[in-house]
Formats: sequence, structure tokens, C-alpha cells
Amino acid sequence: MSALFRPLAMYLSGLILIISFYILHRAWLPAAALLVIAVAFVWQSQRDYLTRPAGIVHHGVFFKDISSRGAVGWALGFLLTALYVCLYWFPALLGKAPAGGSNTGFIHFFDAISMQLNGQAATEWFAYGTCYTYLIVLFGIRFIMKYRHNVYHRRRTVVIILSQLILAYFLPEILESFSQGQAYFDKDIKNIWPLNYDFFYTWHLDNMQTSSLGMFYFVVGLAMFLVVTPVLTYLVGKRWYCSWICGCGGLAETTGDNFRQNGPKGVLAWKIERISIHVVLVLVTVMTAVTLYGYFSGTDEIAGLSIYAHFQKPYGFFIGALFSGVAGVGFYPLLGTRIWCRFGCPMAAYMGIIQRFKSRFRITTNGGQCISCGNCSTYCEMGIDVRAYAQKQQNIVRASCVGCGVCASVCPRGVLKLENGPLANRISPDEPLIDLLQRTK
Amino acid sequence: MQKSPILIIGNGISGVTAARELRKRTQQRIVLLSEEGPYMISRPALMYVYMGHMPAHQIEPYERNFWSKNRIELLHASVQSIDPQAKAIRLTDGREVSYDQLILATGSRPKALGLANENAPNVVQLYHWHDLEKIESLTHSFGASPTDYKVRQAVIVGGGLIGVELAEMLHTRGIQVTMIIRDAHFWGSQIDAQEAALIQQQLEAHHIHTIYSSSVEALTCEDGRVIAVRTSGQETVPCQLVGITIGVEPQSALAHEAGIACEKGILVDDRLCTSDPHIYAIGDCAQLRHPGPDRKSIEAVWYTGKMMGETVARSIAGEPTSYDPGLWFNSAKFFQLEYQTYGRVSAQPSEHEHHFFWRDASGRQAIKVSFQPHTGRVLGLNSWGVRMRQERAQVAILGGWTMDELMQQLSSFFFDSEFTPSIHHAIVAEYIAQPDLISHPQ
Repeated sequence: MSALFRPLAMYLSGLILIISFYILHRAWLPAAALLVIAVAFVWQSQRDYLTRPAGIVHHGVFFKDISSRGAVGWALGFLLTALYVCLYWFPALLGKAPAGGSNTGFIHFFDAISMQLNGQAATEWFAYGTCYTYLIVLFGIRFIMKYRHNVYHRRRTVVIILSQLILAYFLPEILESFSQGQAYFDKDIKNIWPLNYDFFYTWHLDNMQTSSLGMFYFVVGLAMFLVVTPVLTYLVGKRWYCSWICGCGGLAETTGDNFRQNGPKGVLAWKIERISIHVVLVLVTVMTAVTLYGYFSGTDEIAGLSIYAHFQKPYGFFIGALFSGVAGVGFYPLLGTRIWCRFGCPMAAYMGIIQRFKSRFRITTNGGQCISCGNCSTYCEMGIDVRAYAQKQQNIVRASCVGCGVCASVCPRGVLKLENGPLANRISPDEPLIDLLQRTK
Repeated sequence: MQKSPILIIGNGISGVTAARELRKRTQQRIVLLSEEGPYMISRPALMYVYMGHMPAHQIEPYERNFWSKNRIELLHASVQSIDPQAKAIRLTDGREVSYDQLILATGSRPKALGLANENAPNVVQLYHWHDLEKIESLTHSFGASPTDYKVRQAVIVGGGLIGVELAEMLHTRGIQVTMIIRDAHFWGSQIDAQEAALIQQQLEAHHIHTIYSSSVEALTCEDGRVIAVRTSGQETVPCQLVGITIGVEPQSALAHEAGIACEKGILVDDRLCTSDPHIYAIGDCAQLRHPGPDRKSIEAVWYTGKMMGETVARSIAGEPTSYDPGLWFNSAKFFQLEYQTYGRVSAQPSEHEHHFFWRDASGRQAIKVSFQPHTGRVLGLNSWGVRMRQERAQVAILGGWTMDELMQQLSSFFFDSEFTPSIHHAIVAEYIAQPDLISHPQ
């Protein structure tokens, strides 16, 4: 009990600091509270993992309520969903300042930090971004402890943490503080169209053209989509993005690790996913084409339809907010961590097409060692039935694979390996084991 | 009248593979019969259900609609007897099912110690789904504090692969496990003391007690339950659960009673046909009359069942095929320690087989290569905590590579995840440091 007491005591201290902030309003208290809670969390994580021999620790995952869609899982799902609904449509409930007023409640907690970073009071998006980054850093450290025996996971997770912390959080905030009074544009360099669907919006294109930094971001943004993405996806698969630097993927890989096994499995989910993700890709392409038409012809209507009301607004509401935000994270405990990445993300769809048809990436199956246990399929966050391939001695070449590498790690027989290699024979024939072993004689 | 079906008794990996491969080649009816449950489960995955790594339904390797989609009829029943003359089987419920061809894939069953009280309710084995249910009911209450367990101490008899799996399972429920092992070190029939030390390190890290060079003399009972195990060294180990994992033997009773030739298992020829021309036997229950070089007549491993299923399907579908499993290989996991083996690697070196051994400083990784002393020709290799690429190992061993050639090509053999620090320089350095390893003839 005493061993548990210490992290618990620290969590309580953190809570006291939070309460003190709302009573005393000292500017240093939020940062102190976050720091104390972080220390408690890391302490608890090292007790959970570093006190055990290195290796796969999934004991009780399907007995624990939270990780097996039990009551706690459902409650957390509702809570997260509610938070996202507030964030998108009712930020006042989170304490967003009314016009001319100042923040209260949840958002007020982040005012001092925001002031330090960009010289302004917090917005609901700053508060959200801070929490998001905080979670990726903390759960990333925990994930590294859990998979400390595996270099692939260690490197991948360090990159995830740094991408979020520097590219998505500090750098944009600091650049923002240097460009105060200038027109706003998105400064997260890895937020690439079509995931970043408002890149080509008229206001965004106009704002980027008002400064040399903006022009730099414009050129890089185009190059990321047109050159970097296809080239890297050809060389190493979509994993360079999805499980190494993407923010959505970053949260899934770290904070979501407890829920990765809850994604829907089976052929039906695969059928739905193939349709839905490509529908979103078509929608974002149409919406963007119409937007660009409007931009270049200086109109805000096409065929009598308002570009904003009939294209941008519905896409932003249904796909941008409801799908990628509310469902994408809110349903983590119920449908797994990659709901958006599997069923909706147009960036994933774009890279998936390259990965499936023209990429050096594959998961190799090692001869006849598979015992059909199913750990790989269980822990695949994308709901791929990895076992279905492995037990037929086939390489896994799937559009949706984000290359997290967990299937290979949980395999008890050393059957799976993520690799880049020549395109020839990348897709294996449906070949019985006796023939395969004869062939390699 | 419709032709009788191809009937397969047993829905393990052998029977299911036979059914799948037959369906690719024939339109004939296929009936897959099982006593254990209608849907195939992966037996090696039972432990993951117990440990909470996987939900029960996930250890079915095929989705449930797979069977009807492939027109494989599932029959959940147990067989009373086989009548080879009438080409029919009788079920315990009295029904008769006639067959055109019969495939016996009845698997194996755990060996018994042959001691009194072995049928006590707290003595378990680990083989079937119902074994798992029994262990679960005896040790239920995951997550409660250790003092609440009905079972606080367990004894496992036998130090093989199943024994260590059972130890790992019970360990996750906070049960103190003692393993009683016949040999002087772990898995003495297969590996040497240096290799066993790696397993021992895992056992100690997970607080598993081991008693070596011992067998069980008696199971002490009280109120019908075993309360202690007495070893041949006259040690008494108190326990509330006993696991017997001393190996498996072919399940051949049905065949034997039907007059089909059996020894330890059901005897089969190269085409896996029994003494009755319409009856085949595959998987754990089959005993090969003429096993290939370096292969045993009975091999109860997953992939041989799969290969036998593939072979028998061809023969029955009119493409007579001899069973040829090729080079021996296998793999296992001892707690967090992965093991793979390819080719012939005896436990101890001999006049015809010498060994090269490398171990890393932490003692968590090791490689053992066996070779012919005079030619240096590679015979086989074991890897510990290191994943090997099967295709490379096959090429080296079947291609008659020498140790020198193996060492030159070693970097392409590893199958561990990307960025894993390379160990091949360390292994080669160790090899170079032993110049007298290969005694070239005068």
C-alpha cells in the first residue's frame, strides 16, 4: 500500500495546486500543478513497467473494465465525447471569455501559460492543444517504458513526442508571439492537406501571402503534399507519418495504447472502412476544388451554391469536427484509437493508395513459424486481421497499416517483421507451407 | 444418391488445414467433426485468454462465417466407434455418419504420471478448452489481492514448453509456482546447461521456484484435494493446485479399436494413409512408418499438423503426395525469452556434432550453432532472444554451408525489428577467437 501511496500523494498535491489556483489566482500555480502531476504519472508508470522484466505486458487487458469496454470505458467515452462537443460548439461551458471579458474555469487555467508562450490569454484551442501535448508527452514516456526492450518503439515514440512538442506546440506558439498583429495562418508544418482541409481556404491563402514566413509555409505545405508524402510513402510506407509524426496518430499511439485492442475487427469493418475513407478523400477533394475555383475566379458561389454554406461548412462540421474530433477521440475506449485514421482520414487514404500499390514497405511473415494465436490481430489498432495473412505465410500488404510495429512485438514466435524492400514478390502468393519450404530449399 | 462426404475427425490445425486445402481442390462434401467445440481454436493461444491478453473469441483463427462460406460442414459430436468395413462412424448419441474417405486428426492427450490421486479436482493439465475452464474456476479472481486466492501455491510437474506456459499463466494471478523437473537443468532433453541458464534467468526474474533432478513420488491428499507434492528427493511442497505437463501422447484409441494398425500412434505410410486404404491419419495422432532423416516418427508441433493436412488433401484430391516436412524447425517463448531452432541441434555435442556458442554480456541473447567437426558444415542453429529468418536458416543448412560461410553471411539472418543493434559482429568476433573450433583433417 505504501508503494502506491507515494504517486497517489503526488496526484493529490497536484489536485491541491489546481484548487489553490482557483482560490489564490497565482500565475505559477497551473504550471506547478501540471509538473507535479507529470512527476506522479511518470513515477507510477515506472512502477508499472520498470519493476517488471522487460517484455510484453498485457496481463489483464481484457479483464480490466477500462480497457475492455466495461462501465469505466463507457463512462470515459461519454466524458471525452462531451468535452469535444463543448470544445467545438459550447466553449463558454469550458470558461471561454465572452466578448470583452476574461476567461474563467477550465480555459482560465491555461491563461498564464499562454501568456508566457504567445503573449495572449488562452483560447479554447490553446487549452486543448496544451492538454493534448501534455498527454502525448506523458503517455509517450509510459509507452517507452512499456516497450523499452524494443528499439523501434523507443525511437518511434521519441519522434512522436518531439513532433508534437516542438513542431505542433512550441514552434507555432513562439512564431505566433513573434508575428503578433499579423494575419493568422496554420504554423504546424506537419499538418498537411488533405488532413489540414482549410489549407486552400481563401482566407488562409491570403493570410500566408502577407509575410515571408507565410510564403515559406505555403511552399512547404505544397511540397509536403506533392513531393514529400509520395516519396517517403514509397520508401518506407505511410508509417513515416501515421505512427511517427502525425498528431492524431501520436495521441493514438501514446494515450490510446490502452484502447488499441478495442477497434472493430473482421471483414465487415474492413468493407466499411474501405468505402468510408475513400468517400472522405473524394469529399475533401471536391470541397477543395470548389474552394480553389472560388479563389481564382473571385466568386463565393458555384452553380448557384454557396461555397461556404454548401461545401466548406458541412465538411468542417461533419468531417472536421464530428468525425475527426468528437468520434475520433471521444470513442477511443469503445471503438479503439484509430477510428478517424481507419474510417475517415483523407491523408491516410492518400498514403494508403501509395502504400498498397507502390511502396517498398511490407510486414514480412517468417516461414512456417506462425501458430495462429491471434495476438497480432488483437493488438492491431487498425483492425487488420494480421493472423489471416501470417497463418497463410503471406506478407501483410494493406493500405491501412500504419506501421506501429506492435503486431511484430506481441508475436510470441518471431513471425512478423516490418521491412522496406524491393517491390518484386512483395505480395505473396496463396501458397501452402509444404510448397513454400520446398521452394526455399 | 449423393456420394458420402470426406469426413475429418478433429478440428485442430491438421484437420482444418486438410479441410481448407480439400475445398480448394474438390467439390465433394466435407464434414469436420469435433468433440471440443464446433469452431477451431488455436490451442497455443489458450494461455493468452487466461492471462487476459486476448478475449476468448479471438483465439478462433477463422471468422465464424468462414466455414459456411467454404461449405465445410461443422459437426459438434463425439465418436463412439469407426466401422472401416461399412465406411461409417457411430457417434455417442447413436447417429451414424458414412464417409467416402476418413481423415483422423484426433490429436494427442496429456500424459499422466500414473500416481494415486491424479484425478483429484485440483490437478490440472493444459491442453483442451475445458482444461482452461478448469484452471480458471480454480484460480478465479483476477485483480483481487493475493491473499484472496483460493490457490496461493501451485506445483507444476515437468519442465517442458507447456509447463513453462502454465507457470507463466499462474504467475499472472499472483500464484507462487514451483516446477519439479526431472533433468538437472531446464529442458535437458533438448538444450545444454548454457542455454538452460537463459531460461533459468527468466524463471528467477518471475519468481518461479525450480526443483531439478527430481520426480514426483506422491500426491498428498486431504478431503479429496491434493494439498502437497512429495518429490523423489523427499521434499514436500505444499500446494493448492497441481499441473501435470510431462508431455503428450497420440490419441489413437478410436483407430486401435477399429482394427487399424497402431503403435504409439496411428501408423501411416508416406502418403499418410493408415492400414485401411480409405482412412488417413494426420497431425499429433499419426506415427510415420518411415520418418525422414533427422525427423521423428511422431512430431506434435503446429506446423507439421499443417503440412500433413496440406499433404493429405492433395492425396485425397487425386494428386498422390508424399509427406516431406523438410528441415526441422520450431519456436517457443519462455516468459519473455524467445527461442527458435532450425535443423539438428542436439542437447550435447558429440563426435559427429560440435557446437559453437555465443552469448551476450547481459545473458539475454544467445546463439548455438551445430556443425560437423571436420568439414565445418553447419547442421543447425538455436537462437535465444534473437529472431532468425527461417528462409536464410534453411538455405544455409540445406545448402551445406560451412561455418565460415555462415559467419560471412550472418548479418542477413536476423529477423528482429528495425534498428535493433546488430549482434553479428560480436558473434563473428567470438568465432574468430576460437580458431581451433574446426579440426580440419590432416
